[in-house]
Amino acid sequence: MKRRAARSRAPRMSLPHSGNIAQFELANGMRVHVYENFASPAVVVSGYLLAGSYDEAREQAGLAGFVSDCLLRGTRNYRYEQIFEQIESIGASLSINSGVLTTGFFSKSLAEDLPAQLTLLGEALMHPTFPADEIEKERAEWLSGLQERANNPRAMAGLAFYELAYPSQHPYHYSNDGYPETARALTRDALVQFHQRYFAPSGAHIVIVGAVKAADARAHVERVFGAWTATRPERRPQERAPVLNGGPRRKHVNMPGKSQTSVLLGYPGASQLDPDWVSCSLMNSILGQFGMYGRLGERVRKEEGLVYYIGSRFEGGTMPGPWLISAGTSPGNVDRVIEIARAEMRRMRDRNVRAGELEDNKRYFTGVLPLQMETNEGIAGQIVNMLRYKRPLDHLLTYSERINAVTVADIRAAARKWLDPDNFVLVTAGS
Amino acid sequence: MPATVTRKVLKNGLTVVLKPMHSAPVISFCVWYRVGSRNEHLGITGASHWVEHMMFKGTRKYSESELDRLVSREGGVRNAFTWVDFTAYYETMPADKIDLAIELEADRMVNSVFDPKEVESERTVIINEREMYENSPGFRLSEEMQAAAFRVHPYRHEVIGHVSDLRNMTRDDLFAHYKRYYTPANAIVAVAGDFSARNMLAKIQKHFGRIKSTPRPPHRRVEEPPQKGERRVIVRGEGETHYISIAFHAPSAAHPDYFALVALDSVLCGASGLSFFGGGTSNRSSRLSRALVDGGWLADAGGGVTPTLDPFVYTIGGTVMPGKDIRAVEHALWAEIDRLRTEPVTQAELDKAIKQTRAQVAFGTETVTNQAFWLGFAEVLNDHDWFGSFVDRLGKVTIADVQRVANRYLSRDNATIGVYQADGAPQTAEAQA
Repeated sequence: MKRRAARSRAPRMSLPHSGNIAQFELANGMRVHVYENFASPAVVVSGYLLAGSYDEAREQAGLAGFVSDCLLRGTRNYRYEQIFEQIESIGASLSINSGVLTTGFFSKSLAEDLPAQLTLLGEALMHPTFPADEIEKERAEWLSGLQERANNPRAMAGLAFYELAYPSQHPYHYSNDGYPETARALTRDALVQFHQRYFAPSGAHIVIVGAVKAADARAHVERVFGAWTATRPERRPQERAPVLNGGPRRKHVNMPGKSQTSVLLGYPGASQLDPDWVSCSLMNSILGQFGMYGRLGERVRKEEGLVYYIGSRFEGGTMPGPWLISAGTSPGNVDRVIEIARAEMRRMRDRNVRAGELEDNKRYFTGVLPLQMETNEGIAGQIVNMLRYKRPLDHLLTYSERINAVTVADIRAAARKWLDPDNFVLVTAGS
Repeated sequence: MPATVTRKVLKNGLTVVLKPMHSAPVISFCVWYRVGSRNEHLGITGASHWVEHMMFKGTRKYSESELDRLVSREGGVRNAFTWVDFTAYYETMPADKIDLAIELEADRMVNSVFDPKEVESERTVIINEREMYENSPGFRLSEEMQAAAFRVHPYRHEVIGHVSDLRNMTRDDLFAHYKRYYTPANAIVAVAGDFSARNMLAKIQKHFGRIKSTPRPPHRRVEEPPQKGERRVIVRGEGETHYISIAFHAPSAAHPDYFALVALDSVLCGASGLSFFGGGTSNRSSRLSRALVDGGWLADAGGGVTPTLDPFVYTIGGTVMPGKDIRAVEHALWAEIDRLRTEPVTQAELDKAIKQTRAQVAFGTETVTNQAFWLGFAEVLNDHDWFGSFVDRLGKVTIADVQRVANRYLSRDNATIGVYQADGAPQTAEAQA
């Protein structure tokens, strides 16, 4: 029945849903989701497990990221050189990256190479050996990256923004990428312990999309991960997002020699689990995304020519993340850009958007779906998001209905709730 | 997925290439103009890119905002890019909405307004764009290296143009550039996706067929004189990180040596992704990464062969590891280059380059946008099967070919060596010695 319903809604595009995503769970709690797609001879593996910078101590900032960077530096059965020789000689890619709450992984290869890629992924996630000499090489590359970050206005504005917007006990106060002093201090023991303590199959999801039969994919995953028995401790409850008041908080990061100043204006915002997330997204699109950057782009770029880029976004995931406007402009135009941005925030709060404007945005949100589903990565990304944000797997079948249900009044309510032109963090970085 | 390509030249000289593929209900509609920074001279550097911006600012029929709105509200995405040899525009849309893209592209081929007020507001947008690039030391180094590597050929100018030209160019300069190059005979329409070739051709004929033909603008051929000795460029600036790069004059995409150089680059720097829109694989098993990154000289290393109409440069380089002496890093780089010149690569290395490329071609053709891109790109290069035969041509490269092109192109006399020297980098004992 469900399948038929899906067809009538989307006659030509086959959306992933509960009826065509094969799902099963290993005895150790790892969940597997397979979507067959034989349009090209490639397969994507994407997913995550529950380990991230949320699990670090403050003085260890960057530890989760350092662990995931070292996972491909050597495993029980493979040396560093062998790992990359194997991946690259077949033109595949394999990466593992830690965020705040999760460590994500991604593999892309020709279908014939899926078993080998899964074997390597399993080795890396379950059996890394953290060879001392390889850790030092990785550390040196990390430190070099941090040195480059210090010369990048956009990155430095971001660091300062999170420090001002979130109090020191909040995980967002600290950079996922750590700092030179933590990068120098972390020991091999800390890496080994973090991995042993937090890398576990329970709560992990693995999504496979591409030219592979679900039964074959299942057998490969069972073979690789079936015997993994690690467990991790419960997580402490999430920190509440702070509320800013008492007027703007400003900071300028002085970076002599830079032609352009990076500007960030915002504050702690919504999470994707918030009931009004859909209205928030549409409201934000009208303000700072639609077409060429929404109303902000219209005023600041098209009319006044003050920037090359400007836009607004909600960064929230399962935790509430910031809402922010980002722009790059000449040092002399910073104040004008901020003035217009605040005026546009006020306009969103004080006046209803035009019905036609909302309609255009709704049509974009629903119309662009086929483009996002064109590749295995695109489909895998949609499935991972459904899992991450605990949405039902039929989420996409009812997506248009949810978008189309949003009213002009909902947009106004979202703007009044989430846009605050008076209490915000404002960071500039440049000369 | 074998798909047939239909190629036709309309009466007004417009080249049309069509590749129907039915894996998803989407179509990418791409219009190419044979104009880029290669067609510019001092005074109007950056004109091609600026014209690209003006193409979004409206026609007599559609205002700028209307153009953006119409495409977005149909679930489409659109963008454009200007490069040394071409300017290209695309809309990728749900298949049943593609008529809109065809109409808009045909309209702006000849009806863009270039309102003087809009020209002025876009002037500062583009200067802002340039300032954004200038924030990156890599851009400043690469701009100086290109200017040093090319004395004569317009490839010496960055696509975005010099600041003084961006400040002084007039509306009439830009409009003349537009009128000269935006004509059916100088354009290519490349379409890939869910359509039938017959229907699509009829639609293109309807909208583009009636555009008046003007002759394809003649191109003055400029040949860069052979380089006779190494050139050095130093850019000093903020930060603590040094960067190093070496650029060698390299063959054009149509030259018989081009594919041997691609194979060489795969061995030295790793396989390049064949999606114009990012992607690709890591390069940690490449020779340069093994020797220079694992060896502790560079924090990352890479290189790239650029397919161009005229001979361009092949560039390798990376980020100098903190504390390392730049001269020692350069020495280590040359050791790897000299190894390619003096010793043959192994058959295993060559086989790997071909397998990597085969996979990248498979990944790079998953989206209709990429398909349309490569169709049009091949036409710009005047080699219809350039992309389709990529793997085959690479497969014909021999070990001897790789060594021959290493000796022909990767010599010191043909090299421009560039260093970004960071003011804030601590002096190392090694560097002081």
